[in-house]
Parts: sequence; structure tokens; C-alpha cells
Amino acid sequence: MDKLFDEAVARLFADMSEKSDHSLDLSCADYEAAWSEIAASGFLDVMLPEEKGGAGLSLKEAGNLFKLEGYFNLPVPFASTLLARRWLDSNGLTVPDESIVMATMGVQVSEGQGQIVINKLPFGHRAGHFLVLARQSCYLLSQEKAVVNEIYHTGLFASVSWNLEDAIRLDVSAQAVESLRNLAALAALVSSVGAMEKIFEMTLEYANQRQQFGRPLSKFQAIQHQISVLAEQVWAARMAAQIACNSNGYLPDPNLLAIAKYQVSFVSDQVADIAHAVHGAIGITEEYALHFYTRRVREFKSEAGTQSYWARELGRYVLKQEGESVLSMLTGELCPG
Amino acid sequence: MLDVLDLAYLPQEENQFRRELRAFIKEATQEMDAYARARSWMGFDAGFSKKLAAKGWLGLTLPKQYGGAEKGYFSRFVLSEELLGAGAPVSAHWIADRQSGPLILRYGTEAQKQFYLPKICQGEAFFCIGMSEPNSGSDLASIKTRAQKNDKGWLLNGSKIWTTNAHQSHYMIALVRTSGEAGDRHKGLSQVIVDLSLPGVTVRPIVDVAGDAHFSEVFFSDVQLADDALIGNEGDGWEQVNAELAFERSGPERIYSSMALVECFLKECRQQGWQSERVQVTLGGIVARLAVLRTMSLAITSKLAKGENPSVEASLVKDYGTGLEQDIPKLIADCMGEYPEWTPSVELIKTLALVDQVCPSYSLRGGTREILRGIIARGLGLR
Repeated sequence: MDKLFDEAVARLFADMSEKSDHSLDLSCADYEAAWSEIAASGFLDVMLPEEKGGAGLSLKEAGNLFKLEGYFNLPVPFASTLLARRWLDSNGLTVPDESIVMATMGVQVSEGQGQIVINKLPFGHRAGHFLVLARQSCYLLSQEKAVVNEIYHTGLFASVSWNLEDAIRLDVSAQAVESLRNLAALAALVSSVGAMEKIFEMTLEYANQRQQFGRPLSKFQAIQHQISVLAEQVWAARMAAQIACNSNGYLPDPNLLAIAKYQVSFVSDQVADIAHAVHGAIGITEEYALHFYTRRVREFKSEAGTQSYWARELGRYVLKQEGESVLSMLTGELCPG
Repeated sequence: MLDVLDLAYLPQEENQFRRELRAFIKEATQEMDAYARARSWMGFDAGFSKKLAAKGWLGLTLPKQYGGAEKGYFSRFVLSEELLGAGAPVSAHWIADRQSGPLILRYGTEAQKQFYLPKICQGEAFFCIGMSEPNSGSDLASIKTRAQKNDKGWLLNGSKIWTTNAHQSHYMIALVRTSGEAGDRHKGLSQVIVDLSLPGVTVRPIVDVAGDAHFSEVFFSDVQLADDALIGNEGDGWEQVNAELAFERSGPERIYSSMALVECFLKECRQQGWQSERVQVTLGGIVARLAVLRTMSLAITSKLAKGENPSVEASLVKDYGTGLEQDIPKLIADCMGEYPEWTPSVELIKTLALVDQVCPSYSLRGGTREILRGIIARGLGLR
């Protein structure tokens, strides 16, 4: 079942990626066209329960779909929307038709000025809605009411403000607030692993093709060893994505999520650095697509919490389990079962 | 070809085995402090190995007819993990159990199997592996030790070095040249089993940076081996050794070498109330990386259980795993040094110093980083 979804979604996204030449640079009309194409495909509902017209996919089944957003550098928050739709539905809230970004970091709420400002918001000038976590509460914000202060280069993030009165405070449990935080991290890490897979493929291909000193780069031991290290990091990140998605429901296990987000953020810069080192100057040019993917990887390592943030979460848990050894945790609750 | 690693799960029935093991190991190692545990699979205690044998846990994967338990790869993973995770002193039987036994089972004659395997399962035959020589380290195919065919069998001359436990083992499985010259590289190499009590064998332990002597130099001077010392086929030594190394590279040995230090640090953090954010970040990061590596190692075990040969993937996990093992003492030292008011215990100080100093060996034994990265690159089609 899920394999079929993967392939169909991948075909659709490959077309979109080709049209935009890997970039996120879309006009408003193009964005809306891209979004309608995804919406018309029905893939947005795959995580909704069957009685709501969805396919009821669990994280385990849908995990690979989230990767595709990064792998094709999709100009829309696909992973985030899928998860947010399920979160909204599970909490008895209305599910909007437009794309949804979950934002949990750097949300400034100023009562005095009556404003909410988020200076680094993924797809901030594009997405239809934003589920925002601030002061232990969830707010729903819409693009319609947004003031875009700045769109950062290439359009992956924007700085956006809202009037406080336009923020809809959602009446959800503390547990739901916690879930939202975890889902935001999940979307960030898994889509980032997709971008890493693309980076790895591009690097391997380039090393085989580019000739210097009369032979392909891939024949130089210094290059081979760098690519071997890159493979180790990408393989560890892929495993981390599977660990995070090891759930038969739509919520990740909090400890497994912390492990995975740590691991992916931990290798992010190393993956990007090696890819650029192997590519040389061409990787720094605008015309060559590598930078779209390395930017994603570098930026998303901090989105929804850096490695230190999630290490702290996990470390706090580990310290608290009085009398439990690391071995018993690794083979117990920290082992994907 | 570098294959994807799919998340694998241990079969339910291994839980009971794990509980039994854990209780036994706890009891049998209760006198050991972290400093002793930090030797990991270099900690030698023949008595402990005998106790494991009495429980039926040596030769776990060997057939029952030779005294084994006929269990699968997953059981072996659990056994290795529990022993290494606790820092139990497994060195005496480790190589016989992990490598020599399976090698003899695979390539040995029926007579060899009947002679060696029951002894291995009873903890009465400890093995070492003679590979490196004074002038042949990573370039293993350049070895010069030679076994010359004669009317009594094989006449052995040459020397081996860095041989783990040679001075405490009964037998060595040595890679030697049986025909041709060093320039013939992989051709003409064979494996022979050497009884280390034979005349002409001299073993000299080498003291390492920790003050331990876990490896040795071994000299062979006209050592007369019988005909049946040859294991497997004459001339197939290279292929046999590589099959063996794939086995060696895949296990929990490449994750848990610094585990005694991690457990010691965690215990002390709890006891001394070291709970700062820095401590949380340090511990959380180490545990996260351990958890990911463990699932990678388990994924490889699952491939072995399916009859695949994941030798490239095993090299990847080993290179990545030893990196973490070597980072652990640095991360802990850096964290501890941030707080002048902390007063770490003697046990923690000693254990940290030991692991810090010996950890370069983690990425030397069983194939250096450079060798492993070469294997991965070949798997990716780069060479």
C-alpha cells in the first residue's frame, strides 16, 4: 500500500522539481498551481483516518513520503502539512485546505504591541496556515492576515508578523501542545534526510564524472575517503529517520524522536561540507542545484530544535532514570520496538 | 554495493535470554570496578569464560553435535551486547567464540571440527589470530611467514606481531605463505592452526600504553606442524580471512568499547548531583548516537540472519561506530573540565584516562579507518 503511494508521489514531485529547476522560486500563481496539483492528487489526506476520507497511514507507513519533500526540494511544506492535518483532526479541529507549517521556535508574542512576530518561519510567505507554539499554547495563523517583513534568499524562510487579535488560540490539551512540538521536529528531520539522500547521489555522480589530472575525481583516494564518510553520515541519518517514524500511530515516541533529531542535526553540516568539498567551485554557483539541498540541510538542523536542544531533552530523561544503566535503556525504551 | 539498512527488530524470544544473561553477568562481575570493565573485550579472565561455558553460552551458534547451542545471529547479538555492554572480561574466549569456531565449522575437516569445537564450547581452547607481521600491517597480503610442505606436514618459520592474547592462548590460526613469494600477493596464502605449546614457538608479550599486555610478538623457528594443521584449502587463505573479517566487523564490539566509561560517568552524575544543562547535552548526545549505531548494527545482524553478506555495510558501521567510541572520552573529559568545583572519584579519573589513552586502538583493530573507507568506496563503485 505505502510503496504505491511513495511511487505515485515521487512521480508527481519529480515533475514539479523539474519545472522549477530544483528551486523554490515560484510566483504566487505557480505556488497555487503546485499546491492544487498536490491537493488534487489526494496525497494530503493519507494520514487522516479512513472514516475521514484518508488512508489511515501510520508514521511507519508514511515516513518515506516526508523524505520526498527534501529529496525534490519541494516548494511547499508537504511533510508538515500531512502531519498537521492529522494533528488538527485528532484534536477535533477544522482541517483547512491550504498548506500548513508547524512553527515552534523563535515565536515572539508582544502583548504591548499586540503582535506575533516570527523572524524565521519556513515557507513563511507561502504557506496557507501556521500552527504556532508560544507560551505553552497553540495558535493558528493564516497567510491572509500575515505581514511579510522579509523573504530570505531562495525563499525557504521568511520573517512574518501578525496582529495578536488575528491569532486564533486553539483550545487543546497540554499533551497536544507537546505533540505539536514533536511533530514539527519530525517533519524537519525526515524531510532533511530526503535532501541528504539527494546530496549523496549528486556527489557520487559528480565525482564519477568530473575529470582532473586525467582521471575522474572518484579515482583519488582522498576523495574516496571523504565520500565514504559522507555515506556513513547519510546512512546514520536514514536510520534515524526510520527510528523517528517507528510508530503505528501518527505520533512519534518522544525519546526516539529526540534520538533521531539529534542524529540528523549532528550530521547535517558534515554532510553539506563534504558535498561542497567534493563539488568544488561549481557547488557554490547559483546555476548548479546542490546549494538548494545543502541549504535545506543546514537550515533544518536548527528548525524545531538543534542537536543540543534534543540532546538536553534526552539527557534529562537519562539522568532521571535512577538505577537504570545506559545498557538497559538502549535495549529497553530507547530501542525501536 | 552499499545496501540500505532497514530497521530490524529482535525476536521476542530473545528477551528471556537477555534477562537470564543480565542476571548472570551482574552476579559474576559484581567485584569489577569501571576501570576493570573498561578493558571491554581485552579483559582476560579464564574463570569467567569457564562459567559462561558451564551455562552453555560459548559456541552459541555452533551445532549441538559439537557442543554448541545451535542458536542464531540474533541470540549472538544479544549475548555480545550484554557481555560488552557490561564490560565483562570476555577476552579469553572471545576470538575462539567469534571467529575461530565459526571458521573451523565452515572450512574444517570433520576431524578438525570434532577436535576443536567441543574444546571451544567448554572454554578449554582459547584462540588467537596471527595476521600482522613486523613489516605487514594494513598491507596484509605482503606477509612473509611461511609454512613449507615437508614429509611430516608443514615446517613453519617467521613471526607475527600485535597478536591479541597470544601469550594466553592455546592455539593460533595464522595466515601464512604456503607457496610463491610476497610479490604474489593474495595467491599462495593459507591458514594453519598452530598449537602454541609446540617446540620452536616463542611468545613475548608487549606492554601497551595502559600498562597491560594484551598483545604479543610470536616467533616461529622450524616449528613442525602436522599435515592436518592446514584449515580449509591450501591457497584459499586470503578469501577465508576476508570472510572472517566481515564477521568480526559487524558486531556490537564496535559500539560498546567505551561503555564502562559512559556508565561510570552517568552513575557519578547521579550520585554527585551533576545535572547541569551541559551534562544533559553531553549524556543525551552520547546516548542518542549509541542508540542509532545499535540499530545499524542490529540491521546488519538481520542481514546475516537472512543469509546475506553485508561486508560493505559492516565496514561502514565499524568505521562510524569506532568514531563514537573514540569521541566518548573526549566529550566526557570536556564536560567534566568545565566545572572547577567538581571532584570526580578516583574510579572515574582512572577509567577516563584509560579509555582516552587506549581508544586509538579501536579504529586499528579489525581493519584501520583507511582500509574500511577503501572498502566502502569500492562498495560505492568508486574503485
